[in-house]
Amino acid sequence: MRVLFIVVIMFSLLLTGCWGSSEIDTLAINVAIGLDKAGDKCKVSSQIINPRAIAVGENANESPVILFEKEGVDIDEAMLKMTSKSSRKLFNLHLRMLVISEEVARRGIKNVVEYFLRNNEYRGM
Amino acid sequence: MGFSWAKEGRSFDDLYSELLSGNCVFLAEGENKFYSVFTSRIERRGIEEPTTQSVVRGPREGFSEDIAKNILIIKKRINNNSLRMINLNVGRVCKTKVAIMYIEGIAKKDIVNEVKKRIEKIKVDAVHDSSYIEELTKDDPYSVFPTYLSLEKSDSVSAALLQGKVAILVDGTPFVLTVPAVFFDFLQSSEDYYHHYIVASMMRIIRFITFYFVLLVPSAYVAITTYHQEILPTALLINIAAQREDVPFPVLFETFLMEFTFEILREAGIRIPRAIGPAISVVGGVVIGQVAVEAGIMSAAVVIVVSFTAISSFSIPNYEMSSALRAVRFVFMILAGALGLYGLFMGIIILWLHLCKIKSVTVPYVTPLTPFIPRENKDTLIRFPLMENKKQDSWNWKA
Repeated sequence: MRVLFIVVIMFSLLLTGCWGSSEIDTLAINVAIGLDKAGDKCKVSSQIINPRAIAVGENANESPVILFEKEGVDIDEAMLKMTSKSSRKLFNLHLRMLVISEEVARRGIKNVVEYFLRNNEYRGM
Repeated sequence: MGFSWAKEGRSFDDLYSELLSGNCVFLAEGENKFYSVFTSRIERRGIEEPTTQSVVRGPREGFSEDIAKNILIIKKRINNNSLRMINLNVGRVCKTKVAIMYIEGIAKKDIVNEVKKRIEKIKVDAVHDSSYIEELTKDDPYSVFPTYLSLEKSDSVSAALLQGKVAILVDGTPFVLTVPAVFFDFLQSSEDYYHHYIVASMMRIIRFITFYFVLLVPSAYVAITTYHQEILPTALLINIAAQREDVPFPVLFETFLMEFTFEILREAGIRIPRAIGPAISVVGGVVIGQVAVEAGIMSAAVVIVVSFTAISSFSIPNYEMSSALRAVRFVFMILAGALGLYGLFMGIIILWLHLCKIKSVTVPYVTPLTPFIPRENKDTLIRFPLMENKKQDSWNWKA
């Protein structure tokens, strides 16, 4: 009975395993985001690290970063559209830089900064 | 002849066995018993420097296979009339000589009796090494952690006896067991007492940290690179991502493969004839370390992790403890691969629950810590100066 109990507990704990796992080579590490206005839409540019170019001694002529650009009614929609362009999962937890265009900045950066500070999918700023 | 004893016996079986082991037997007319005198002399290895417990400073007197010689060495070190010895024979076929040594007044009577009782209960054909005694009388035989401390140096054994422990000597092996052995005994070296106490304490703390390194470095690497990439510094993450770009395996599999390779190398290293040893270290070090990385089969980070773990595992003074940790680290790697850091911490909790549960001859394994005995903590993680440690000579287990 005790063994059965332990087995049930272990199964319920361990069979949930691997949830949320993602190998590093399936991630597109996003290090910088740029915000622009495009008409009444919002244009988001993401700078993704290209690890292949960084690997020592190989592919020296390749650019170390890849730029993705998408438009959307808000940042979320633009980012979602970006996943259709990238073969890898966008990984925003190592965001180092946020570039805001003058046009957007003139309207106030409070909302933009608040969005990035409060959203738990963006970290590192 | 440096050592002799006389025994009396009554049966013919005993008489034959005495004669066959080279002793003289005296029979008197009208008596229904005989006396045998130890007269045999068998050539055996002399007293040499031990191979498993090497030290920089301190005595280098190691035990040999001859139990009589080993007993003499201990008697010479503990020149006191309260040193006691119980002689036993273990094994139905071989009747190997086993001696239990302790110091009366320091060793706890219960523990001496318990050890004696357990050894008397052993039913095997032969005892070839003291590990037989360990496995057959352990409190928790299914636990991977050693609860009997095997020592090869006479000064360590006499120090243990003076701490109130019981030594078990087995004929035919240079390894003397001392019990009760608690967790911290396995992370201590006899050298700790011969170096300056600050240096010794530093070394002990380093060993305690390496205890965790051996267990956790490969699994933490797996957990962090597959679940928690956000906790790495950005530069390091990009670095690892660049290394992993060409690697065809998932991190867990890659780490397992590399750890497995290391275990093979370690095992092969023991068995390889001395003359071709260097050839294998070239194959192991260069081919697996460097070429595998260059060929893109392994990432350099995994090689660093595995070699770091390997070096850490050799800094644990006790071989049984480091083997146990090396076995447990594979479990931790599976936990890390399945559940990430959550699994790792669950593993640590289960490990410590296990360590708290097991016993070494009725003494809980993590004794000076839990149950907490403040006085005895002067000699666990930090070695207090000897003048502070006035109670050291009757250190433990005394009622």
